[in-house]
Amino acid sequence: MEREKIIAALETAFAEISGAEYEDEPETFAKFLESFKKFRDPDFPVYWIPWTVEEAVEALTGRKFGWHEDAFKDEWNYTGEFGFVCVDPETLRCLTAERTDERCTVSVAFPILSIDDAVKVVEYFLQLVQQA
Amino acid sequence: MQLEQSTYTEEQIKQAIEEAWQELLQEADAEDYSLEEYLEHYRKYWDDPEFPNDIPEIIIRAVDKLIGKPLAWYCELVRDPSGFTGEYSFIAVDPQTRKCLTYRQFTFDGVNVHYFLSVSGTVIYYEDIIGLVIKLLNKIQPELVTE
Repeated sequence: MEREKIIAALETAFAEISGAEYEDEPETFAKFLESFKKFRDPDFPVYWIPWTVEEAVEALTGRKFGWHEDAFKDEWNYTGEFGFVCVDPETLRCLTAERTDERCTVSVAFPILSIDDAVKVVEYFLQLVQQA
Repeated sequence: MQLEQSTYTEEQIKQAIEEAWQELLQEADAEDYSLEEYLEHYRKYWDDPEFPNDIPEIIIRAVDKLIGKPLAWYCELVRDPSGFTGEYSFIAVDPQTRKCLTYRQFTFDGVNVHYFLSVSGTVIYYEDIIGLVIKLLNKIQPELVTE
């Protein structure tokens, strides 16, 4: 899928989630991520980031999924890394589960500190949905 | 605290929790001390980054023992801006089928469907661990049967 289409889906999702769609000069998702990368303030509404990614994936696939997201923190602050678990509600299959010879992992984790990172994460989930 | 009903007796659940605790002690080559003693420290230091938080591992191992197979798990220590809240969220997946065993869906308004992947609970006392193990077993067991 084209990058522009993914960015448009991310910006639309972010405007809905952050309430920016009601503002005169709305902040873009790209700008929001730039601020997050600079300050990573513990009071930052950090969950807007994974929610935006999830909503963009749902908009682009035209499907709803079950999600669990975690904003990783070290002892001081957010690390900029996010854990995701994604389940297909039709099959109850955990799409992010990955089995190796020794163990099965449930979640995937990605750094999201720029719009490029966010695009990569959306692309990952689009591929996952396609494979499923 | 009112415990949920379970097909396991409280003794069986306690035994699984104690076995899990003993395993963790052996693996850490730690001196022998009781889970109650550990929980006393846990209540004081749970938000200290240096404190080894073994609670999720105890719960996961106890559930795996009682259902008789190791599942794949994800556990989140729930935090608010002031730190760890004492709440844990667990997601269990069958490693063979990759079915999410802790999945729920419901509608608040009769229209929009909301999906929840995890089972959550707060742990402060020993009884909370028993309660959370029962809560997980009650959700996971029927899902395993209907696979």
